[in-house]
Amino acid sequence: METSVGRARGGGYWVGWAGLLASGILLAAQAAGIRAAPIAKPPLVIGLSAEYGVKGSEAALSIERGIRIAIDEINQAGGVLGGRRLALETRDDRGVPMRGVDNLREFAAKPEVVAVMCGRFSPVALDQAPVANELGITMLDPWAAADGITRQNGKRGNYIFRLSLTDTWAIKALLDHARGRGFKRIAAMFPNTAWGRSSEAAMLTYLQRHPGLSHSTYWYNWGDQDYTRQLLEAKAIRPDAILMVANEAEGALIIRQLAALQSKPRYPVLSHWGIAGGDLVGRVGKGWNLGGVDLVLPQSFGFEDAAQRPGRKRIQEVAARYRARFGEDARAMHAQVGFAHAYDLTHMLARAIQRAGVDDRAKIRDALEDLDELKGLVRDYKRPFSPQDHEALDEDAAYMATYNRAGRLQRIKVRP
Amino acid sequence: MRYADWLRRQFQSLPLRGKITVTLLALSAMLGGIMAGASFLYSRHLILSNAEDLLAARSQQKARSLEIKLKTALSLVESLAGNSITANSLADSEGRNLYMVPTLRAQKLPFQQATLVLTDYRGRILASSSGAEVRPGVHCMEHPAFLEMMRSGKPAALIHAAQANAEPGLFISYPVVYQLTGNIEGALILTIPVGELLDPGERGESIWLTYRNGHIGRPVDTLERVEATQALSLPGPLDTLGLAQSVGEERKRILNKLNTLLWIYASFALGLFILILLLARISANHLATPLQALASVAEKMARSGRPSTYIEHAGNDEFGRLAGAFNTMIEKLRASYADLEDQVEQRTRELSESASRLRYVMEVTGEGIWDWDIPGGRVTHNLVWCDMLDLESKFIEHDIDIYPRLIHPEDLGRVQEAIRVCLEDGIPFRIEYRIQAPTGRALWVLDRGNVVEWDARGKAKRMVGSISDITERIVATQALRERELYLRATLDNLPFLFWLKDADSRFLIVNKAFSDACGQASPEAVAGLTDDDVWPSDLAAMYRADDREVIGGMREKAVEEPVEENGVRGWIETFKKPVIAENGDVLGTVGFARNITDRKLIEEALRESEQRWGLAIAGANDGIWDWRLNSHEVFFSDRWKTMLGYAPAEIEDRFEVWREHVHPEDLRRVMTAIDRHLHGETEFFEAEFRMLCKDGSYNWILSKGKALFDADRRPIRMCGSHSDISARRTAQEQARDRSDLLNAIFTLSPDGFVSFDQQRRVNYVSPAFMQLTTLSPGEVLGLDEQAFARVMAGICVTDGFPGIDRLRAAQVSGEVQRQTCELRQPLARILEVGLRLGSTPAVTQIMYFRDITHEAEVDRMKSEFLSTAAHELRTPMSSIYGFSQLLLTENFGAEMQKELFGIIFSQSELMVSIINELLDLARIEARQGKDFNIEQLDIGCFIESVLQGFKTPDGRAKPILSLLPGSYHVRGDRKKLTQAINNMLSNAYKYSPGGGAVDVEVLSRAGDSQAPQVGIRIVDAGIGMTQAQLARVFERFFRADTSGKIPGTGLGMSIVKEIIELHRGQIDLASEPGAGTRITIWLPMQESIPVAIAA
Repeated sequence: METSVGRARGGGYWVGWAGLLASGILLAAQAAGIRAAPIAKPPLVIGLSAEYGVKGSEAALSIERGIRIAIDEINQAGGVLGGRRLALETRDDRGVPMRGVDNLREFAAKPEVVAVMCGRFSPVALDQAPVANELGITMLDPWAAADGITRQNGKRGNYIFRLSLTDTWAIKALLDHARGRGFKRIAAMFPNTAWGRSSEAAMLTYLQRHPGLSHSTYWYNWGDQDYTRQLLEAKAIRPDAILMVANEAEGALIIRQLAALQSKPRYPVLSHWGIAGGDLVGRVGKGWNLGGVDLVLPQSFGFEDAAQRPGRKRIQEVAARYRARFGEDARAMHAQVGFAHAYDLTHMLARAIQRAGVDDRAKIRDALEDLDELKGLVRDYKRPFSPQDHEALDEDAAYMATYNRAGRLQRIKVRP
Repeated sequence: MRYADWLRRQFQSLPLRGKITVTLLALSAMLGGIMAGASFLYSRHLILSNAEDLLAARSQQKARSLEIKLKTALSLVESLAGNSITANSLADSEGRNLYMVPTLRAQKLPFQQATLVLTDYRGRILASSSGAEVRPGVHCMEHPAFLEMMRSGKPAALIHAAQANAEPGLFISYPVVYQLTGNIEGALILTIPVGELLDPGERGESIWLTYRNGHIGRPVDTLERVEATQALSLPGPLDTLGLAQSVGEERKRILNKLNTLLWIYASFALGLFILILLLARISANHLATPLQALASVAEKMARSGRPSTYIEHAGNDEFGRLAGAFNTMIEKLRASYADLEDQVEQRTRELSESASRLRYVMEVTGEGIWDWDIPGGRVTHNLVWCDMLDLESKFIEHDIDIYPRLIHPEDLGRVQEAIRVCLEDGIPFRIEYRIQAPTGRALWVLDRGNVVEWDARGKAKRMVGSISDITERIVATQALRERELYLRATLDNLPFLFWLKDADSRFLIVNKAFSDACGQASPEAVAGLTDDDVWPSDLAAMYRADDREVIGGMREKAVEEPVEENGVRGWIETFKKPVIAENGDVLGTVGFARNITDRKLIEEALRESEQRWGLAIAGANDGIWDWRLNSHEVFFSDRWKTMLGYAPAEIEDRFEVWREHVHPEDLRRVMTAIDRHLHGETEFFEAEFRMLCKDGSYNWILSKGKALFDADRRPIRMCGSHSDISARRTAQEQARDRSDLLNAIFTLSPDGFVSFDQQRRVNYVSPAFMQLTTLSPGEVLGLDEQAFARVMAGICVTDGFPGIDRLRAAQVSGEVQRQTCELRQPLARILEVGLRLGSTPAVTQIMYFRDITHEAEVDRMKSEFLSTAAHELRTPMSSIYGFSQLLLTENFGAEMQKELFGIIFSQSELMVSIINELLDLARIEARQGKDFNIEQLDIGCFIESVLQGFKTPDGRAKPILSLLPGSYHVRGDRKKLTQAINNMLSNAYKYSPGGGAVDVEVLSRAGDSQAPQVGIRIVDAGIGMTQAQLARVFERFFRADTSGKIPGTGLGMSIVKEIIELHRGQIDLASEPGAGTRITIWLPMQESIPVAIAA
């Protein structure tokens, strides 16, 4: 996967254009009625650059599986563009922005790649987005929540489409929850990255409208092992709750260190959904009964809750296909939002390719902005994207969930 | 050979001294040359080997210093690479420029030019410590060191030779591991330019580095060098480079130091040469000297022509013999000289006789005569001269040096100058000066003299002169001058103008005051002038007219005239008189004038004051008296008399009249006051006294006065006034009575009072207030009410003082609730405080303070007790309530019912016992022992009966009693003491749930300071109490058992305490947790009371 090491920037650029040109000629030839021999057409490829290498992160796998289940469905239904199959090619970006950008450039250099899906990490996606706009290749965001990802408009238009929560919505859901429970003071912990700053900005915007809730902010570095200093400082202000923006690796450490520092009653923890990207319960440890922590986080989808939803039948079918293909219970899957978002996005992409009628990247982008009604796992979409709005979901999509005794995420009812 | 011959010839031609010198010089030069050469060679060897050692040491030191710098740099980079912020910045492309570049720059690398960059996993620079702006991902750093690091996963180091775009340097690459993946996702690359690695070194020194594959900085020239190389011991990854550092120094430079040595040798050799030269000369001289001596004696005799000298000789060598012959020759010559000398003596004797004759002549003249032999420095004089100077006459010839000592020091210079002129120019001198004879007499002399003999060269050889005594003349002249001075001083110091004119009105003498008045420079300047010259014309005319009048009338004239000077008006008094000679002629006039302005002013003021005095007597309401002390005459004004009810005519103006009317009790006091004033002890006389009125009553009089004194401070007159102050006195007395009354009330009141004046300032604080607050009057008197409130707040607990406004509001609204203030520790009093508004101007408001500490304390205890008691009662009550409700609402089986009823019963029992005990306690407290039925008790019998009556709990042994021998008595209430002992016993059993004996013991004790006592001690082996519990054991409702297993009300010990204390007894309590409790009650012992009375 590191084949492009040492290749100059211009090289990748021109190869990409050459690929586009070639496929353009091919399509033009078809349109002109030149009948080629009925050879098996090469599949259209969706590229996935995700954090496989990040230890314990399950999101890459969930997203991949969401795409795969969706591709299976699409291919079984005859593929796109008159029988062209969809295929998935994955690359590991290890959560490193530079690798993510490199992966994106490599995908873009391949003519058969119609769109690229990014992973869960906002810092990576934020670096990829302008490159995708620059290279003119659709980037689908099934998870990364930083508000800025979809707001970057390139010269050729905005190629970034998200089917996920934004930090603004997630933070709003968390703070609405906090206010609903009568909390007056929160201690907020953010990672020292673009994601952390995006979340902080969302929090500050929210708190401006709700001055009754006071806050103090603590920062940590991605990959830190010791959070004692921040937690001791946070404890000193006697917060009603901890607002935590973290992934599962840091989140588990914070929860454990908080418990070690804290006597009862424990502070409620309001967490961004980054901790759902892996096996949080496993990481926190067997000796630690996560069911006993007052931990809530926003979610947009969960098989556990799907029974209460309209369209539960479709969800159960997908769950059954999941079990059939991967031999696991979908409800036990970690990072289920990634799965559902990727699944829905893949179907949307297929629709868009179909609607564009060609595998031209610009046309596919345009088609994405102009999709019809679509029934998905997360919800039924009327018109997922528009030229003005590249967010398939809205703030109502966020609901509060917590880990139940089985260690699975479950929707909670907001207390009166 | 020719040269040698020439040399020999030269040597031969030298004198003896020269030969010796040359030989010695040649020898020493040869020896010195050999020594210098040897030592130069040895020094060269030493310098070279020393330089090598030095270089080795320097090389080692430089190597150590480079090692330290490199190690420091490595550890900085290594720790930064491991820092989570570095890994974080890999993921934070948006924010890292904010902190990563500063962090990189902040690393205190020991190499100034070194750069530190952060790269991604492909070596693209993300952040750099160098100033150049870095575009992320654009600059690639595919450096072998980085590639090596990525390959091996370990830090790598490399020395890079010069490249086109980069200078040669040391590159060290450290991996940055991404915590989330455990992979190397970036690198920190430290670049140190070669220039930084190579120490510039000292002058002439060159430093270079060698490493495994080459070297840096080695000089390429072909100079010869001394070198030292030191391997660097460095940690990984630098250890792979095999770095070594060399230091070299040019040989030529080192040997330059020898130049200095050569210079030292050269100058040393020169010095040695000179020294040898000197030595050679001295020794040559030594040999040649005797010959020279012989030659010089011969030469000297030839020159003088007299055989005066012998040659000293010793030894019998050639020189000795030559000297002997020489001396014989001289002896012969000397003999022929003796005749010649006899003739010379004859002539000299003749000369001295002639001189003595001259001296005789000199003695007979009347003047002192002197004759100065200038070259000989001797002065000859006659006897007159000697008498004049009181010198002994035998010394008629003196050294010239005696003169300066005889002449008065002030005149000496003058005399010497005159003589000098005479000596040089031959002009005779004549000079008067003072002489101080050796006997101390001083005299004036007139000295005349001239040069009488000159030598061939025109220099003075002899001077002759005479001297005469002129002392008398000089003294007379001086006396005249002094008298004149005295006259002038007298005139000038007269305080008035003085003048003397001749008959033509021309000033002869005036004094300084006069010349000042007419604006002339000095009195002398006025002499010879006329009035017209010194005064304005109108005045001059007037003065001249006066003069004519005085001369013509031959009489004196005195005038007082007003003058005006500079706008100030004044008065001048002038007095003129003719000066008449013995024969009756008028010689002129004499006059005085003086300024009498001050006198005139005083006179006027006096007249005015007399007028005022008259007015005062007539118009004032006060009586006036004026007492002439000498005559005892008194003047009493009419008012003075009417004040006492007399008509003016009815009373005489006599001092005795006053004295008779003064109240006898006051007289002594008043007379003392007058006396003191007359003695000047008081400035004014002032006294209040009673005076008898015509109607027989007494009026209070205030008398004020002042005495006049003459120049000797003797009182001559005293005057003053009388005021009738009866009304005022009466009012004052009333006020004093009233204030005494109020003071007594305030002083005796236990409540404190503070009163405020019209400006609401504190003007009085009562003693009780000071006692309550321990404030001193000085701290609060004069304060306004807000300041007073602050002082009060200062001594109160926080917010303990209600504040003036609140107090006033409470007073105005008639609030019922009383205001209190709580004083701080250590006073800790609670005061009721109130403000009452006053109606008089002197007291606008009064604040009072009442000590209610005790009341408040009792209140607090009461409410505390009530709440505790209520709580204790509620516990059994809630059981009773709860279980009875259960029984009413539910159906239980008989068994269950019985159990519940049992609980209700036992709880009711507990409640009853609490209430009983509370009542007991209340009764005991309320009656304070008045209801005690006191009787005489034999303690032994009493205890036995109590124990018999005590119901031992089931399964426990009875208490074990040990009595004292004999019988002891106490006075007490049998029932109450029984109750107390029962309570104690019951506690002993209750608090030893684990069993164990309970001992009861009767004791006695007596001390020096206390009456004998009987004690009853109860000891258990129960759970005991801690010190904290022990301290609280007598508190109501206190229970040592908190588990609730041991039944009880918590009032037992309180009752024991009350009972024993009312019996004037004491309780001792000792306990230890787990070891049991020992309680002893002590009661006063009754001394052997007869049995009959007890019965």
